[in-house]
Amino acid sequence: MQLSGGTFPTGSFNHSYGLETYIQNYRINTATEVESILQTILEANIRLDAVFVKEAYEATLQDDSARLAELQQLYTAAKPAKELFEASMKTGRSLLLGVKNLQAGNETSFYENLLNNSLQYHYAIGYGVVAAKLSLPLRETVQTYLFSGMVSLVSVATRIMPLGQNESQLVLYRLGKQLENYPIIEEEFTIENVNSFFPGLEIASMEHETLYTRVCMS
Amino acid sequence: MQEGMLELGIKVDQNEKSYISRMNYRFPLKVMRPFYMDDMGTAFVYVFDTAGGMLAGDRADYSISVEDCARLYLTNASTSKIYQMPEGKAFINQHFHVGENASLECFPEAITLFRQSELETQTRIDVHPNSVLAYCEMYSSGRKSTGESFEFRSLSNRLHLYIGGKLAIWEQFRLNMEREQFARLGYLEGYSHWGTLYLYAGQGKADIIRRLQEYLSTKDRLSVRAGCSLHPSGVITMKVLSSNYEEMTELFNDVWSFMRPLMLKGELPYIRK
Repeated sequence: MQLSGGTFPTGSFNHSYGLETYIQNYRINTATEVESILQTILEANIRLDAVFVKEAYEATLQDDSARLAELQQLYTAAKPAKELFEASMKTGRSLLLGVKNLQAGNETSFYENLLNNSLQYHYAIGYGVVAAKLSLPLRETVQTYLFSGMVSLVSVATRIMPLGQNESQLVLYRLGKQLENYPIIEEEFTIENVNSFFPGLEIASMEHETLYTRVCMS
Repeated sequence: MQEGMLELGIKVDQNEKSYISRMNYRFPLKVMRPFYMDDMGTAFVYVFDTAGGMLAGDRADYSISVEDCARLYLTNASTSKIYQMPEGKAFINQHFHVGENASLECFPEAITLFRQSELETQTRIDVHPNSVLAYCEMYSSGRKSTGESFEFRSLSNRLHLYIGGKLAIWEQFRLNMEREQFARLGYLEGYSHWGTLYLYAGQGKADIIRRLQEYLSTKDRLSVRAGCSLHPSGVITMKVLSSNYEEMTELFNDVWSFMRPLMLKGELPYIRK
């Protein structure tokens, strides 16, 4: 719960993953529209990120550092938009560093030889590694990953557009319900089933690079 | 059932003119003799699908190799039509190899997905780190003039782009959604056509992304939405959504006309269709 809580220092509150472009271009003005784009982002996270969370989780259990490096390369290749790539790398490293600091009292290095020393990994991969190292159940790992992503984005939305606290909680509540009802079948979370078709989101992120004023880093 | 196949090898002669050194094809795929339209000796090659389109079980396998120092511009004469098929699917497999100091410009027309059609495409592009690539792919959600839109059964696409043997870009999707989902924000947002252009001109060419971003900001975008970005691998990806096919192809052509002198040191000639 601490990992997925909004206070863990990953820096995710700095990233809108293209949401800011939609808001600044007046394509999103209402809570309903926020919910619509967040639903797409949730689907993107289910079809791409959740697979990597699960794969990294399993690679960690098998102590397979080569597989983790392979996943890292694959995820990087799936992020052609620079800011989406950078956001994922920055939050991933912060997560891994934050957890490492919490485990500093341990006699052995927390990640042992599993990760490279720079801890440059994508957030989804870092999340899977950390969850496996902390012996968290896989299903809850995937669910908390997905829900915390929504919490972070709703929080960003309330900062950069007129969205009330009650409205934002309603959006989050409905997204949480959708997630609850979404069939998370672990066997289907494979690289073979990855679906990275979100051209609107990618273009929004690309456009974000040249927005005149920006509150968020992505 | 048609099993079309096209194998092409492109080499460069002592006058720096690129030519087809190896060709092997099977109906319905054919190529014309190359045209020479620039002063770099680029071979401009048109591919023809003489069957006019694909039905269930049809395959089209492409294997195109541009050897060291050779230059190829590859296009086709018309859109690739994936016809209605009550069951089964059509397959397109493509493998491109681009050697050292070579260039491949690949600008085919869009793939049009008819009602109840199903298509699976696989593309692998192997690029030498010191080479130039411009690879474009476009899709149309149906025959717009007849009101057909997003009525295809399924489209799956896998693209792997390797630079120097290392995976740089990976795109993978399977589309079998409801029309309403396509229209949502983040997906196709009400647009009927979509396309991607991948550009690579070796490492250390990061400055050209700024030129492209500035150029895109000058384009009128009433029925087109476009963005571009530079990946750490050095690949620039440009994505476009459009409700008008001609405007989308014109935008890609304009962008490549602008970028070609920066990446290849040569103007893009008029491509007759």
